Amino acid sequence: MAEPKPGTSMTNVERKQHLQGAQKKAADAAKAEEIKDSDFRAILRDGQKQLKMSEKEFADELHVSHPRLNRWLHGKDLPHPVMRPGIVAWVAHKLSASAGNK
Amino acid sequence: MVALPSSFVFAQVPSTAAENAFEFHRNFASKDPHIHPRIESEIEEFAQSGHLFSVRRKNTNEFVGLCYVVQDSAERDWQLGGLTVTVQKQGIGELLVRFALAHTIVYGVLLQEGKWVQKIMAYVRNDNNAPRRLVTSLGFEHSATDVFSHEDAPAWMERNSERGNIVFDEFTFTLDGLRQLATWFSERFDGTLHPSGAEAQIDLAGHNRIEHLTKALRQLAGGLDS
Repeated sequence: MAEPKPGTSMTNVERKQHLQGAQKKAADAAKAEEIKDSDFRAILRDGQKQLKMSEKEFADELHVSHPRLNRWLHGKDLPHPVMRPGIVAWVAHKLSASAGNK
Repeated sequence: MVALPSSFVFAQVPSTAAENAFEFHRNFASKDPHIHPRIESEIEEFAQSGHLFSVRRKNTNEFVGLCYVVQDSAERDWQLGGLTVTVQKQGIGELLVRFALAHTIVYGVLLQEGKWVQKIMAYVRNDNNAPRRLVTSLGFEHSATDVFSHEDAPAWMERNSERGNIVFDEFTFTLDGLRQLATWFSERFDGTLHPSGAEAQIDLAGHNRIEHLTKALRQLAGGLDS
């Protein structure tokens, strides 16, 4: 899904489409056997962006510390692969709730 | 009427609870000369960095246990410390340490290709027997002895010492300890404390449950033997 051009604002419909796209990607990943490092980081980053949360707000809601989330986002550290679907499922849940409320 | 057993929640301490955690730590450290009394900014930093772990009563949110697993810098080894528990003989301290170890190991990268790239250490004063028994039973092994002269020791260490050296034993968490940890969560932990039967709820990030933590530990332990 294309991002809006700089200087243009997203309509509510477009925003909902972005949220739904990110939600589907996260929900699909949560069901997968394995989530690659780069996919895990991308889902977290996209989730945070679509939810319009700061890293700190996102970390607080996810129940991880801000430095830990920051390390995950920047590839300095990652949770064990077994723990990733549960985290990604939470992102999907938040995006779904956010899309439903718009 | 028979009273229901208590329920306890084991979780990482969020930064919003750091102030209460510090009060709990301060009350305990002021009475136990073996505890390193941390200042408020240290406890806040431990909470903000996700390295502070607690046990709270589920119904009142009151702290009943606290410990940390911290590192001085990103490349350094980890240190388990500050174990304080106000409810005795229920296995709370033991589960709290197991949880803190497991959490630290599965949410970070301490192991690569079956070897520790960052170790977890514990330092126990030589006249403090209770934690010594606990850490050795959990798979730490004695790795060094640190001797501080009375003059060189930090002020907090001197409170219960006669004039003379102050000796700390250093313990290192072993690969065998990791295997034991995985086996314990997999085969022994049933979500309750023994012998009281109190519920022991473990909170993890996102939608993760204790089953995920256990599976991750088993995979890590399995990787050691392959």
